[in-house]
Amino acid sequence: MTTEEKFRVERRQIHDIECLELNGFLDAHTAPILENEIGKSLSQSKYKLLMNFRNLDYISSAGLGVFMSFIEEVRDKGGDIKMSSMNDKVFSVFDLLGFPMLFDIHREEEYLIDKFFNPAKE
Amino acid sequence: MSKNKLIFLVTGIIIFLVRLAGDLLLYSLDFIKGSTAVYWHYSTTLLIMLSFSAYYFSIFLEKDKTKKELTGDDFFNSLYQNFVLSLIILLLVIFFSFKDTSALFRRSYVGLILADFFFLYVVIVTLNNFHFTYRWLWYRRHKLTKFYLTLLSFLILILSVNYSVKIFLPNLNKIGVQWLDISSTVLFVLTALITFLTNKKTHWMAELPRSQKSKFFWIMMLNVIIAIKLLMETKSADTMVFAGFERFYPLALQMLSVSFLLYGIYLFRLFMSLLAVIPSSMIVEKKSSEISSLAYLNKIVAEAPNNSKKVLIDQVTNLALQASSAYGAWTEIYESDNVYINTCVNINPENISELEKNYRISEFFKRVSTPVLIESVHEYRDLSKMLSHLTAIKSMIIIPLNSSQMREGTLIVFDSEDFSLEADDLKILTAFGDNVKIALDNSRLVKESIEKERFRNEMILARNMQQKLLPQTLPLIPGYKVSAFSIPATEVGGDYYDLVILKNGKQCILIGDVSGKGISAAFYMAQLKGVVLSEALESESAQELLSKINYVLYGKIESQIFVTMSAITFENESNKLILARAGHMPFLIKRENYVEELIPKGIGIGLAGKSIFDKHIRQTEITLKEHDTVIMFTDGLNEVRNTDGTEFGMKRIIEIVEHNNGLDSEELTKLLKNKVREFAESSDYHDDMTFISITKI
Repeated sequence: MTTEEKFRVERRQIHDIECLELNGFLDAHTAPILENEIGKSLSQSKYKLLMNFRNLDYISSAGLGVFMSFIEEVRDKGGDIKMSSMNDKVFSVFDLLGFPMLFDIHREEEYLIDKFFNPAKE
Repeated sequence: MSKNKLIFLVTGIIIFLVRLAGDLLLYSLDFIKGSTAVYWHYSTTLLIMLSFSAYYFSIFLEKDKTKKELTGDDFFNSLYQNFVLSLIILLLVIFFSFKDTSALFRRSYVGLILADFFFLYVVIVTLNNFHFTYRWLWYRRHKLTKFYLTLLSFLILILSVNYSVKIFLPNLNKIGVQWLDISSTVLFVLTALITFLTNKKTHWMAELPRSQKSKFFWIMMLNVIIAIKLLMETKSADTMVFAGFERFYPLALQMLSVSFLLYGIYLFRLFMSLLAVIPSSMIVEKKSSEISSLAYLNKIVAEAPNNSKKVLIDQVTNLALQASSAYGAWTEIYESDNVYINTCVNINPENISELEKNYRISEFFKRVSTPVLIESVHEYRDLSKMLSHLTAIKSMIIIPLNSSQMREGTLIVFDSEDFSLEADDLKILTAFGDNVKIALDNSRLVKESIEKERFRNEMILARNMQQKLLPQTLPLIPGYKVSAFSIPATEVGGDYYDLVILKNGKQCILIGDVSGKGISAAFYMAQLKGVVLSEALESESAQELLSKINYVLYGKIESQIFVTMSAITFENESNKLILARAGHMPFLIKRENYVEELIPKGIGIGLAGKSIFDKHIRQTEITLKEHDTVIMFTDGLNEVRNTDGTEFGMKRIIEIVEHNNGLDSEELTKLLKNKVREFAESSDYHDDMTFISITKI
């Protein structure tokens, strides 16, 4: 299995929000693919990033590291990385690490899109 | 042996001198033709022949014993020697057969002395012939040679007896004489036949160079002429100066002819095999030089790792020239964008440099990806233009030299005549190109494996050093039994566990997992240990320790790296523990009949600054009963996968812990380690794993 078969990113544009749909396995081998994709968005000055995890089967610590490496820059530029639609297993990895306290993570994509427009909403 | 040889020689000479003296005495007394003289002549002749035979036989044995490898040159040397000896005897016979010369010496002392010496010479030539034939037959022997040679010697003995009978029974009746003649003829033919049969190994003639073959041809022809002439002369001995020679020196001439028979037939058999191979000998020679050069090439290939590329290609160039019929050759080596002229044979390197400078001829060669034969450069306009001033290059073969990774160079073999290089040359040189590839690859692989070995040794060193960063033995904690294991996925890893003492004297067990694995994780793990040891001295609780570690590390480590940790402190009341967690895997608490997952709140270390981290971390207090166990582990354990890709999983860990009641921490640790190994079916783990169990006793 090549790394491209293991992990794939699809893009969607919702208003000014860049939505990245993650597919497959995100680990040390495939993390560079995601790094590359997020890097592309940032180079186009797109800082509102929504990660949709509904098709992501597995994430390792190296995969988690990708979000950490970008979050500071994104937030400095007034944007954010929000995460939606995780399956239970993937969510538990994020949860154990305490990501829900650092990132907006929600079951519904729409909820987060809404939150991009209306950050004060709790 | 050489002493015996000398004794035989001296004995022979002494007997000869006695014979000479005796002859002269008999002559002066005019007894020389008397019937009693026959016994004198016969016995002395026989004794002389026997002692010299013994001398030659000693030489034969001596040479056989040295076991020296004999070459074609050795054969020719003894052949020349024999040839000269026989030629002299032929000249003497011809000289003496003139009536005038014979009259000069007839019935004189001088004649007698000459005759005696001539006899001695005949004996020497005879024995030389036998010796030569026997020696070479024996050297190239087959399983029947010994038998045949014994038989031959026996036949020669009977023949000599047969001849002797005639001498001692001069008055034999006609039938008797006829019988003797017939039997000697039969014996003669038999001897010839057996000699012919014995010489079976003639294939070595085919391997001789052409020049030696033609030499052999001429010597053989001359020898045959000499042998025939001598046979004729001895059969009609009466016409010679030595009328009565047969009587004076019985057996001498007979043995001479027998020896020439053996010798002649031996050579004739070789000659026959030579005739059979002459037409193909040119091809055979070429093939055998091809094979020997390929064999040498193999040697070069095998030694390639010890030599530089330049030396290898240099050797190959020279060998290629030897294997083909080409006049000259050169090789170019390409390194990055440079072209180096490596070897030039029969061409001036400056000429090649000029070709490169004026025409960039290497570009032309680089485009040649498979071996090419250019029979005549005139057929290619570009090439003939480039080579117009180099008259030595009329036809050429271009062999690209590759390693499996890249084009390394080109071997160019050329000749000064159009159409003189052939498809055969191309074939052999193509084999050269293939072998060079193997040699270059071999030498690269050897270098790589040395490099790899060095790297592996360094990794082993690193592993041993990292092992020392983990507790070698866990200190005793009153009321508890603690055991642990930690297995890195590669030589080194990012898992960490330790037992430290806090500022207030409380003992604290920690487990940590640096994200990622391998060397980078190992560096952070070492750094983590340092931070833990220093911050423990300033902390009073598990939560405070984790918080301080986060404070030190946040922003100091790369943003994508983080550490998950858990810590347990042993409180003063003997059954109370306080648990804190920073993004790490859950604690498992094994109670009497169930296993509980405990996840105190806390973010991973390095993910957030002090305020957020501290805001969210909450330590938890638990009390343990006897035999209750607390388990900590890193995610490498539950994420172990078997060959099907199935995860070991939390559920399985909980099951193992739950179903093995009554095990103490040490037994449980061992059991889990075995279960994981069984499950994974190999020791190639995908992530580092660490496991700690603490049992209340």
